[in-house]
Amino acid sequence: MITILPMEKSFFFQTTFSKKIKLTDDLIQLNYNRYSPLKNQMNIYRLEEDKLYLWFYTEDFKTPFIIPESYLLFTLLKKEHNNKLIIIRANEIYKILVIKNNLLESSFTLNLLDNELISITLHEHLLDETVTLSEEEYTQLYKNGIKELSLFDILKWNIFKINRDEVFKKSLDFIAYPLSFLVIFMMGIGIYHSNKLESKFEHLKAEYLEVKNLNQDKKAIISLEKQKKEKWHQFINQELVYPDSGWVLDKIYKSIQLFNNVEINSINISGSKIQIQVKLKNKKDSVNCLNEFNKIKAFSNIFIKNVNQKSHIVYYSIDLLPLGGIDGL
Amino acid sequence: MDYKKLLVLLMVFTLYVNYTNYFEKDRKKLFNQIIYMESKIEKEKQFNKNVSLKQTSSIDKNSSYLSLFYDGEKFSYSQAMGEMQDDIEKSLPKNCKISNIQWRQTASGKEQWYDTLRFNLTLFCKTPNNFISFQNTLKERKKLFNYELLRLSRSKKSRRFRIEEGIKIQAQILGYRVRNNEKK
Repeated sequence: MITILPMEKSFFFQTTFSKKIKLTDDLIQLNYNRYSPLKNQMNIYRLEEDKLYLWFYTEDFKTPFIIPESYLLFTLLKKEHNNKLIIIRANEIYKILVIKNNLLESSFTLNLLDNELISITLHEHLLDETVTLSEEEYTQLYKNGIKELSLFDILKWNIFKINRDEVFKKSLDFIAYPLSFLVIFMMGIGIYHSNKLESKFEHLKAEYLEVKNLNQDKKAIISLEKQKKEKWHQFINQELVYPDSGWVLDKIYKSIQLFNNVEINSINISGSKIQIQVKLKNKKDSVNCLNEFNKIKAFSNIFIKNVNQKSHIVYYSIDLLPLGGIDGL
Repeated sequence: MDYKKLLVLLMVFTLYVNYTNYFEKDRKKLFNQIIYMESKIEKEKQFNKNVSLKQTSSIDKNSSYLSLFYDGEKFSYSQAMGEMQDDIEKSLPKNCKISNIQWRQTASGKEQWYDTLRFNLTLFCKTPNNFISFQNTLKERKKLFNYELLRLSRSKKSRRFRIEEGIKIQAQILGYRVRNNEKK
């Protein structure tokens, strides 16, 4: 999955832009391929703000992630050995790194250590310090570098290029049958579930009819009773609005009988109106009678309509309360 | 790209779309119907548990107010009027005499379940108590009688009924006939 691109198998190039730019593979190939001495080359690059690091190589590693060794070493050494030329002895060759201002300025390999080239390189980069690392130190550093690689670091070096159309077609190819199966399966589940629910509903319907039939007789009786009650109430509200005239008559007679000197001349009951004509021997009894009438709960608006002084006949007018409006009757 | 696979997928999708549009049952609705039906069954079961036939039969026995009405199955309107007149006459005490009885026909609506039997009645009684006694006897007939008009006055014209002095009662008395006897 991951390949560390050895320094000896790559050619390093770096450049600095005056402002931030956006680069594509095509743009890099077009502008920088000519700087590489390699033929049939591939490249891997990294753009850090205005600095472009570019590595050319020829071997096809067939892995999606390629991390250049020089960059790996640079990230490990830049803090400790900033503004230095670093000579690393490794596998009988010399790996040279130039780190200046925390940037990788140069990276190349030598089979034999050439002091003149080193001093030229130092001079070129206006540096005067060199550091030499032994093979053991390199091996340790390399192992540590590999260990410390995070997933994010690895993902930065992805060379896998996605062709959207191809991906879509391949995905479609890949999912066509499983998706078809899934859709049919979902439909099957849906149909099965619907049928289950339907049969349950039908079963419940039958059960409901059965239970309903059991209660039918009782319900019919209750319904009939309700109807009868309703009819009875309707009848009462329509026909028996006021108290029974016999009862009213009885109440009037009982009230009058309390007074010896009072005789009834006439009583007239019509709907809610009662008119009573009485003959008195004692004038005071007219009010006493009135008070007695007032004690009857079904009576209201009781008043003396007329008193004939000559014949001592008193006319009472009374309103009869409807049955629904009388408390305790 | 394998177009056979794509064709299969398209066919399956077409099938699925048609299924969802035309054949798929509304499961949510079915589910709600099931819940509703279950609650209805529960109600019926509760009703069955709580209301016994014994209770309902007792309801039936107690509801006999229709007996207060003249039976429409037994009597036609005029027969019921005759029956009521007979009841009135039979209820008269010794000291009460009817001087006039007049049938009054009342038009009832078609929807109404009862007819009103109406009489204009003039009678003479010796004392008011005689009239009250008449009323009580009438009540024993176990039919419902109602007065629309009731006029009581002293009378001295009752000699032809051999009552020297008494009470003249003019009343509009009502009875009721049920059109269709509901009791089965």
